[in-house]
Amino acid sequence: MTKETQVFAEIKQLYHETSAETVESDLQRAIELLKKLNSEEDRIRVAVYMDGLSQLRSEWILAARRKAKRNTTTPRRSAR
Amino acid sequence: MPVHVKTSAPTRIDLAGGTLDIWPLYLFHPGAQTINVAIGLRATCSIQPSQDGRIHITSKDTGTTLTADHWQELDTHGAHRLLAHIARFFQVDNISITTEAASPLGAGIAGSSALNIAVCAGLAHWTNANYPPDQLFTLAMNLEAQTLRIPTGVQDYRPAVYGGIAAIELGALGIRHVPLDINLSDFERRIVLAYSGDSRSSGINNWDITKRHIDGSDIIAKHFDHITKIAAATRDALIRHDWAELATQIKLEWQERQALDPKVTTPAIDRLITQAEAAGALAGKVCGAGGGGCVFFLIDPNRRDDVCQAIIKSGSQLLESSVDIDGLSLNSNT
Repeated sequence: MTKETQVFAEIKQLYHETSAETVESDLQRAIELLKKLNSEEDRIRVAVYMDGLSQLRSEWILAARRKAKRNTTTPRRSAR
Repeated sequence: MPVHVKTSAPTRIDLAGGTLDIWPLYLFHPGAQTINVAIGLRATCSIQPSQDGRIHITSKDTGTTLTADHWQELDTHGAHRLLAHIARFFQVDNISITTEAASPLGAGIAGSSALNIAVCAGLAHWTNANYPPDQLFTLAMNLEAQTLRIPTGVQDYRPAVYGGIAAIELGALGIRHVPLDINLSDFERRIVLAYSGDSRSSGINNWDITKRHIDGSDIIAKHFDHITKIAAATRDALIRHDWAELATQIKLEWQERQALDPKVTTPAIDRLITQAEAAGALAGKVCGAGGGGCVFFLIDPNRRDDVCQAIIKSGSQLLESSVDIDGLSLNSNT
């Protein structure tokens, strides 16, 4: 297996196995791996999974922010 | 009025060009076409007067029945929403509709389109509405879009009506179904269909890809340009019975499709394709939009047993993949 094929397989695996808890570190790891690819063609090949990880991160972070906002919103005072 | 109408329609394997059959995507890629094969896994529909004057829509696959007093009251949001939309279109009362699909749920082989065609054709006959095929395609597509609330493709209804192996040419003037002259027994010896066990995920759908294309994604446009060329080369290889070239094109199609969205493939599908190819499959690609469902393999006929064993060992299920040449069938008793 070539270095490029290994990198592709690892980034793909990161995408398929990521979770809300690990997506930040998985994306960082994917970026590190991406830097090992020298050719434009290889980078384009993994772009779909990099983009996918980035989208999942955005979705999960936004969801977490919304949840945090709901929890910290001061409850309305009831009418006396 | 007939007392019993029975219809059935075949499902399909899409060899190349899928997703481009969604309007208006094919207009952005001159020469766009899809190549598909109708297969012997059929969806069936049986229509009779009901015993109690009400409407009963029963799915033998799920074991559930939708009942209403009148067509206006059919629930178009529940599990039977496609069938409810169809029955409401035809405004039928006092009727019992029973459906059954031979394909697994979410298999990606257009089981719902085959069912849609079978039910639409059956109810058209029941109500004496003799629609020509083009009108039947439009009706089925629009009812599916009403059900899913997103645009749907045009290719899946053609194999359900015509059967056989065909190119569906997609252009500004409309859709053209072109039967391809292929040695069917030779082709059948070279294909295997496997159900991965993963029902197609609702997360992956063509609508995401359609939106990104219309929003101007250069990457999506580039991959669809490639898919357009691959579909033309697939058709050419099929006509020439050049199986090695066909394998090359199927591999390329699968590569391009995976680049459209990260959810097109899954670890289970990757494992299935890797193991089948290690056992002698020449190429494999997921059927339909991907994200689960069925994988179609082109094989060396001499390695069929090895490939089939590898598929079973991987936990997948082998499905019937004979080419259906009959298309839509309709039997009516008066």
